[in-house]
Amino acid sequence: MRTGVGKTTLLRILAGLATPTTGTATILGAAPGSPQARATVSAMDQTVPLYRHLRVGDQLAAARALNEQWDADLAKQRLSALGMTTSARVGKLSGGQQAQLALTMALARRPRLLLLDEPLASLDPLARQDVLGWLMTCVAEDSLSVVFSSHIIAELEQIASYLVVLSAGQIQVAATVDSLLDTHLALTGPAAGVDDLYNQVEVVTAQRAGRQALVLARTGAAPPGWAARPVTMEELVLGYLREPAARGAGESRLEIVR
Amino acid sequence: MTAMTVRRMTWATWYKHRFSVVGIPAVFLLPALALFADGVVQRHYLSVHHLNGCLVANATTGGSSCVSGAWVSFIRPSPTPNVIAVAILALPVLAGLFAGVPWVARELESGAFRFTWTQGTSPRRWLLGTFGPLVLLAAVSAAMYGAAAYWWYQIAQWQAGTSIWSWRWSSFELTPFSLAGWTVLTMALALLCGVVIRRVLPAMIAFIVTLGACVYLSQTWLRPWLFGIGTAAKQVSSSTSAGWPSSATTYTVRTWFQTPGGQRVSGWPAVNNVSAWLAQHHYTYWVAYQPHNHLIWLELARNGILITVAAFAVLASVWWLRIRPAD
Repeated sequence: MRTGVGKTTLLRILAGLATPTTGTATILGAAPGSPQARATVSAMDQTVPLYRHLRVGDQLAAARALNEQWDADLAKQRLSALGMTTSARVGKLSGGQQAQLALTMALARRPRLLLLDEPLASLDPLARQDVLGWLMTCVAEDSLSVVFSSHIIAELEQIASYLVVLSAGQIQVAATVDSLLDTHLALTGPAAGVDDLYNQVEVVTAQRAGRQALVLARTGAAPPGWAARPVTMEELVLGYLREPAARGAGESRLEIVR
Repeated sequence: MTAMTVRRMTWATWYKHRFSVVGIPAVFLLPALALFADGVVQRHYLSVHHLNGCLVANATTGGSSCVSGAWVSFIRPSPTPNVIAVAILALPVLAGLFAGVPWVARELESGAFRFTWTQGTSPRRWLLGTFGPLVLLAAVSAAMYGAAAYWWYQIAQWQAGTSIWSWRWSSFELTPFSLAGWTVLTMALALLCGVVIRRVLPAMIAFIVTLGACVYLSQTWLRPWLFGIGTAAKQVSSSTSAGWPSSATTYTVRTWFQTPGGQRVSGWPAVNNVSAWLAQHHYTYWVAYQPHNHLIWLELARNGILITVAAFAVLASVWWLRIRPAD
C-alpha cells in the first residue's frame, strides 16, 4: 500500500500492460494479455488513459468498435446519470469526470474481473461514494470481481472482502478481510510487558507511548494482563505496513519484479 | 488478425485519428489535383501547337521545338519545374514526420495506448491495426499523387532541361511506384522511431536522421548497385558515336577495352590516336548499358527493396513492443 512497493507494476502485469522480468502470472486461469484474459478483464489505472482530443461520443464509439461485447445501454445510462454529454471534449472534462468515463467504459465491456489502480484519486468525496456504490451494485448484480488498489484504507473497508498488503514487492498479507479481523486483536497493556508478549502471541507491531503500549497481535484471545479489542482494517493495514518483516495470513508466493 | 478484428480496429482508428485519416489523403491529393490541372493546360497547349511528339520518351529529335514550346507555355521562372519536383519528393517525408511519427508516438507518450490495450486489444493488434490503415491510405494516396507528378513532369521537364532522358532522376523518383515506396518506408520508419523512443519530438528527430541515412544509401549505394545489374554489352567506336546505344533512352554503366583474348582492360591509353592504337593492338571498345526497357524493372526492384526495409522496420516495431510493452 506504500508508494513504490510494486502494486501498479503488479496490476499492469495482470492487465497485460507489462511483462514480468522473471516468474509467471495467471489471471482467471489464463496468462495476462492472452485473448482469453483480455476478453474477460478490464483495467483502469490512476493515469485514467483516454483519448483526450476526442469527444465523449467518439471515445465511446472507439471503445465499442474495439470490443466484441459492449453494453451500450449501461454506458448510456451511466453517462446520463453523470450528466455527461457525448459532444463534450474528453480533455475538457474534470479529472473526476474523466475517471468516471474511463470506469464506465471499463464496465461496459461486461468484464468478469476489473482491475482498478487508484481509481478514485481524482474524485471528490461525493463522487467517490457514488463510484463505490456503483461498483458494489455491479459486484452484486453481475458477479463482477474487482481488484482495487488504494492508499485510502477507509475506501477499502467499505468494499473489500479480500485484502492483500504489499510491501517491498512482496505479499505481506493475503486473506479474507473477515478472517484477518477475526484473527487479529489490538492489545493494550504495560509497555514493560511487551518483550514478554512476544513469547506469548504473534506480535505484528508494538507502539509504546510512555508506560502504555498498543500492540497489534495475531491472536484469538488476549494474554493475561492485556486488554483486547477487535481491530479495524486501518489498524491492521497500518500495523503490517509499519513492520515490513511481519508476515500475516495467506500465501506469499508472489514477488513483483519491475 | 481476422476480418472482424481488422474491421473493428479500422473503425477504432477512424474514431481516434479521424483528422489524420482525412488529412493524409488531402495532403497528397490536393497537390496531385493541382499538378493534374496544370498538366491538362500544358497538354492543351502542346496539342494546339502540334507538339504532341514532345511527350514521347525518346523524342530527342523534337528537342528544340519542344523546349521553345515549353518555354512559351510555362510563364514561370526557369527553375520552377525542378523546384516543384523536389517539393513533390518532400511530401512523403512530411507525411511521415507530421502524421506517421505522432500517429503512434503520441499515444505512447500520453499513455492513451493503455485505453486500447485494456479494451480487449493486444499491443500487436493495436500497433498493426493503427498502422495498417494509415500506411495503406498513405501509399494509395502517394501512388495517385505519383501518377499525377509523373504525368505533369513529362511536359515540365522540357522547361527544366533540353531533352528528355528516360534515365534522369525524375524518371526514377517521380513515379507512382517510387512515391508509394518512399511513403511506405517513411511511415514504417516513423512507426519504428515512435515505438522505440515513445516521445513525439525526439522521435521526429530520430526519424529525420534515419530517413536521411536511407536516402543517402539509396542514392549513393543502392541505385548504382542496381544499375550495374543485368546490363547489356555492346562493342562501340571509341572515337565516334557509331554503334553507341541511344543516349536518350539508355544508361551507360561503364566502358572498357577488350583484348583479342577477351581480357578486359580499364583506363584510357595515353596515345593521340586511340582508334589507330586499338586497331594496331586488335583491341575493341565496349560499353555496358541499361536498355530502356530495364528502367521499369529496376524501379520496381528498388521500390521492392524500400518496401522490404519498411517491412523489417514494422517487424522490428512489433518485436520492440513485445519486449517493452509499456513504461
